[in-house]
Amino acid sequence: MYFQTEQIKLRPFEEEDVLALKAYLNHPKLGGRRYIPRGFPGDVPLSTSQVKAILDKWGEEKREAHLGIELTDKQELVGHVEFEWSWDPMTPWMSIVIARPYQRQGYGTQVARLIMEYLFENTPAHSISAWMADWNNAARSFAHKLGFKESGRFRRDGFREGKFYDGIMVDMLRSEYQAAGGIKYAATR
Amino acid sequence: MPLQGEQVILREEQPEDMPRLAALRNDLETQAWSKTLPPDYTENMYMRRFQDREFSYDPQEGRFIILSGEDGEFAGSISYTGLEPRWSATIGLMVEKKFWGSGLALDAQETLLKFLFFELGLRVIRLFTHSGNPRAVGLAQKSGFQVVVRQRQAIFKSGQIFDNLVMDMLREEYFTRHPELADHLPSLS
Repeated sequence: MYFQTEQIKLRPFEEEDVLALKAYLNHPKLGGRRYIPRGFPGDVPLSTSQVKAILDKWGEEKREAHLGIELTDKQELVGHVEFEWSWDPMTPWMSIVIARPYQRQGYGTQVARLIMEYLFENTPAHSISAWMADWNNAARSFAHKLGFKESGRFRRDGFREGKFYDGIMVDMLRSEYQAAGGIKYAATR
Repeated sequence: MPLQGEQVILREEQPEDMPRLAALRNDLETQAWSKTLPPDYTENMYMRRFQDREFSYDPQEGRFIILSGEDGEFAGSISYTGLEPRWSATIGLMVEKKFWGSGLALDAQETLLKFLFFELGLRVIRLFTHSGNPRAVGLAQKSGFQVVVRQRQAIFKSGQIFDNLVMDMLREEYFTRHPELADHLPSLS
């Protein structure tokens, strides 16, 4: 079944998610890796009305999907995932955020595989790309383990702890997904 | 006072430029986008875009007409978009075919770069092109840009699949190439 494993479910955001979303977005360790729309601060604490505006913004984009990640047994919001393709459905982007207390428990991998399966099996995606800051080693090794390859860096994408940092881009081709087992690989949940 | 290069003048758009801009956009060789646009842009569309441009002291883009310095002939268009003040912007240009290979495009690019680094105090400038456009890559390299991202097989046009390329240049790299200019912008690192 798409968008669901035994442990997690990807589902639309609702108004009542505002406080749960605000709570984990404002965790200090999530600064610079919130994956929220441009125009909202990447690391400054967010107000409830700002988080509402983020939800509104996520809801109005036609070529983007933003889903909450929920634990099936607790109905608890533990993160969010987005995929979007701007003008070209051949080259969608994906990003995943897992709230701090739920990291390193395999949820991110399950989410990534659900999205890869959806994009490669149900859309004309030829590749999937993702972006992360160069200091975000957890995200880089996560992408690497999933089979993504680094395609380069946007130099000086940001400034943090007294120095510039680069944005790392990674991508995976449909042929690489298929070589890894395609839907069987994605279904390894 | 328009921006003055060695071979070009960069000035603001005027109503009489609109037919020329539409013609450049309607030629698949000069439209200068990784995404192929239908050659159906009209003078009226351009005129409306021109008229809809609002006055602002905080613009996030700049658009210039390239005039040949010799006789003031219309030679193309050059712009920057996505301005992050004191940080970054993305440039793009399209040039009439009769001026290809004349050095005019390079001079227009250099004139805009000087404005962006010297007047606006940017730290990095980027541009987007693809591996099927060696002319654009070569022009960018002549000014000191380098390819920093190669998103594999991400562009389809002219019946072929190409890599999407991101090129960028740092402020320090620009000033190293231009010893005649002194950089007095305080360093961040």
